[in-house]
Amino acid sequence: MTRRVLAGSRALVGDPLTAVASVGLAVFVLLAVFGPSLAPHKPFETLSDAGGLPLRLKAPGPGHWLGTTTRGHDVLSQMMHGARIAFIVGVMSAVVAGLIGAAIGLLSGYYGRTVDQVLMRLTDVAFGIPTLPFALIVVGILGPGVLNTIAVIAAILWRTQARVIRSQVLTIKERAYIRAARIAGAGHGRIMLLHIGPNILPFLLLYLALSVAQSVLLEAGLSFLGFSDPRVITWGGMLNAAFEAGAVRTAWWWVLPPGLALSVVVVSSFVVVRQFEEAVNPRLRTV
Amino acid sequence: MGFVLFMIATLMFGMFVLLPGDPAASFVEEGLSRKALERQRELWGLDAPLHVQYLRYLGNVATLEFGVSFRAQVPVREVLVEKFLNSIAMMLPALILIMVGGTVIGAYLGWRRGTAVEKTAVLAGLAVESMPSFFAGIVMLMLFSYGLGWLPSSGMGPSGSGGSFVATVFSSDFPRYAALPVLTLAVRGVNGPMLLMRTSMIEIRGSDFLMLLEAKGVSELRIVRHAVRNAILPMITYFGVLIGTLFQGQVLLETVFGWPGIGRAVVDALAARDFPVLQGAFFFTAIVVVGMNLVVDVLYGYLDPRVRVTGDEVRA
Amino acid sequence: MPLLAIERLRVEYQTRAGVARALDDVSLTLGDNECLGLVGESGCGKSTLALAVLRVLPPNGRIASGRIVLDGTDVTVLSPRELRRLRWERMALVPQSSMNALDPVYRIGGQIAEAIRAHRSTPAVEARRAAGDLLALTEVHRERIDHYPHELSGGTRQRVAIAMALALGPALLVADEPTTGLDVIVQDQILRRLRELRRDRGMAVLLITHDMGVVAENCDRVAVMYSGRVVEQGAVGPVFAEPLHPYTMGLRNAFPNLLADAAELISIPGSPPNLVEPPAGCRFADRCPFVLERCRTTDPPLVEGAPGHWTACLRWREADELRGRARSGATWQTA
Ligand SMILES: Nc1ncnc2c1ncn2[C@@H]1O[C@H](COP(=O)(O)OP(=O)(O)OP(=O)(O)O)[C@@H](O)[C@H]1O
Ligand SMILES: [Mg+2]
Repeated sequence: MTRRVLAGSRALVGDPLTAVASVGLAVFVLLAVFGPSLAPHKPFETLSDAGGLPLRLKAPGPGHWLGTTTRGHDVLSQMMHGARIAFIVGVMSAVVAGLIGAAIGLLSGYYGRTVDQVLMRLTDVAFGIPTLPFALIVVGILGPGVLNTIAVIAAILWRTQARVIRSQVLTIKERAYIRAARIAGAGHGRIMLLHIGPNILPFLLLYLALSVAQSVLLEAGLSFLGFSDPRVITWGGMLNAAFEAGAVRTAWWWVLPPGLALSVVVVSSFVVVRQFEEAVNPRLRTV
Repeated sequence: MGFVLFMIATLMFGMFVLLPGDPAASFVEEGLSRKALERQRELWGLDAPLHVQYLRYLGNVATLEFGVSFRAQVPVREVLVEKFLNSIAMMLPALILIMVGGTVIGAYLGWRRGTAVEKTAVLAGLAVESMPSFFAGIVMLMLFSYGLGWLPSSGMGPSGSGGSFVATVFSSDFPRYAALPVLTLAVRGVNGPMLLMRTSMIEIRGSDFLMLLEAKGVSELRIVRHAVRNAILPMITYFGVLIGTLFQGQVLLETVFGWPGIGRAVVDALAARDFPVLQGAFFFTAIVVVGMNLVVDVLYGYLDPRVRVTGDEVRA
Repeated sequence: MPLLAIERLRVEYQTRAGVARALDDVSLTLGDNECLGLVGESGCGKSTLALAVLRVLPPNGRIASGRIVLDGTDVTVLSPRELRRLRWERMALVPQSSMNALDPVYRIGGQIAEAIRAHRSTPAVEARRAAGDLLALTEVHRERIDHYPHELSGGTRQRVAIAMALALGPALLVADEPTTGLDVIVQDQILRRLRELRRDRGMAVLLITHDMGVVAENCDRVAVMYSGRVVEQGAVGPVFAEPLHPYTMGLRNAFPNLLADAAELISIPGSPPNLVEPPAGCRFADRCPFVLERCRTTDPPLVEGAPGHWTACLRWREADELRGRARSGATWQTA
């Protein structure tokens, strides 16, 4: 036993990395909040040179520190505006998915029997739905837009939360104090919210944090395929524009910033979540 | 499995048939042939009451009869088989690389844990996996295609060759065209299996039976074999899930590398409002995702004698 | 020259709390065809000793000093290759938990054959036949050869582990609690079989157990361990009839049927000291009813209190008197 524990998972990536990742996330949040007001230009403002000619596809330089696009838009400004959409979609989808998943998992685990059967079958179905194709079709039919994107992402991502929360509820509800509360005549709703709720909160938050990264990636994928509101700038949309314009051949300054920004946000949340995960439950292992 | 697919089909029916307006009619303006339109109307039974339409629809789905592509004017099944094969031509080599690479690297890292090599590999894997796939693909293009000019940037073969699937895949050009997409897919996909195998190996390493093997004077190679054979069990589940995941995300890399696969088919059909193809492609993808879960269960039972499942215990 | 001589063996585990000395200057000898019982409470280092002899300590454990001499060769300094050759040919192990000691995804026959084929160029078919013979030897049905470990009962698994250990006819068998957790009837069968095999094959057995009764029935000599040290050692008869160490006296009380007159069952209160920073003096001092001031400062040396009967107690000369007092439950409660 001792041997197992020693051999078991020890935080492989040391704390410095977590610190760096936290900084990455903090920058992301700050950009989302202040980026649009600090950005030197509007996202779709065409920059011109002294002679009034548009600055098309210029490499980074004074006045446009990350270069410009084929339409003469400032990449840096687009980046700063894009952070907000990534943040909104990421957090909102995750929160909505988390709430749906928690509700389903809670009801399923608490009531068991038929309720459990029905809800878990439903979850099985949700797991069978091909994520990106489904999102594409729904957005394709409903039309692009931030709200639609959030809705469709949440409509898919709740499934993981539902399963995790359910299994947590199953163990928690057998604890003595829950039984005691039931015997004392507490109502089902009261038990679920006041007694079980606080216990599943850490897990809910954990998976919520994890699905923020997933939502950001999904949103970026949709935008990259051109399924986003053309009036709203997103990082995936920037990559789409660069790709469609054939600019990936030359304009690295247009491609790398949004791509790296997405990567940094995702990698940072993975690292932070993992640290958090160990705090919540040292024995928990995610695949 | 049947139930899940049935529910997905129902969901599809809801999405497409309850669309505002007459789905078939929306093609009239786009000047598609009246004949195709009529055929589709008949197949879908659009004049019948909703519940009859639904039943007929389920029947069609069950027989994988999605009608005729509005755009290509050929049966959807034909279109899909070709697109599916194209996707497989990209995924299969990548999957093999991922499975072999992930298992071998992961086993190595787990057996030799705590070294600098191990830490670097874990960090690198995390970084690569965190890149959005399409961004990773674009970076590969920038490096190896546009930058170094080593490999072509798009398609499955020289444009204009337009041969059959077999001719394309077995042509001598194919490896060069497939190299970038396959590598991108593999490099991004290898991280998960690698980490899982590593963790699994680390857990197995403390086992008493490995200690006893050592006491038996068995060679280290054989001991590693025992360890791998045990550690590989959780990987089975992972691969099933991975195939499903890769398949769902195919569209992104297919877009980047101009690869005419089934993911692209969804997007193109959506753009062209080619609903028969769209439905077919979506359902096909769902079959793969759901089917993999089943395969996983069966395979797992086969490889781990402790959980041999009998036929009726296999979950949907 | 004895078959096995362990000399001042020190084994340490690296733990979070520091270095735990699980074996502290342990010395033992074991002659050809002899059975030495090793008894002591849980955690006193019995398994550690077994693993050290085969040099299969876990990664955080190491032999800090001392020698383990088998057939005149010091095992502690052998290269991995030399060690591989010695293992199973000369010494074999029945590990403490046969539950986890067999690879769950391989058939048992294959696992036995593997031991044979690791050392001899026996063809697969013959190794398999030999595996079947070995199973029969330990009274396991031959048909079980293709079973997986999880398909067998605990007793059968234990027999398989013994069969595997006998595969190459080792001179020394280290059996770590081969019958713990089994029901009494199965336990008796297995031990009887082990006795017969030892007689037929002239094998020496280091039998680890915490059951004094098992030692009394099976062993020629016994070593009593406490907290990483051997506190008493000698022929089974004298050690159990006239123990010289208070710990052995106490242990004996926990097995009333070892005593001529039916005494009451008394267990020793308290628990052994921490291995990371053990107190000075005698390790047993805190639980010993006969403790004196000097016991807490002086490490008691191992002395030959009677011919061939060694003990590590400063008051060994008074053993006769102490033994009488140790028989009463009241003595232990005041400690
Ligand atoms: N891998 C390890 N790391 C750290 N400490 C260990 C390890 N293995 C054993 N120990 C410690 O070493 C001491 C001796 O353990 P050992 O397993 O040898 O005892 P034992 O006498 O066999 O006990 P039992 O009767 O329970 O089998 C114990 O205190 C134990 O906690
Ligand atoms: Mg032990």
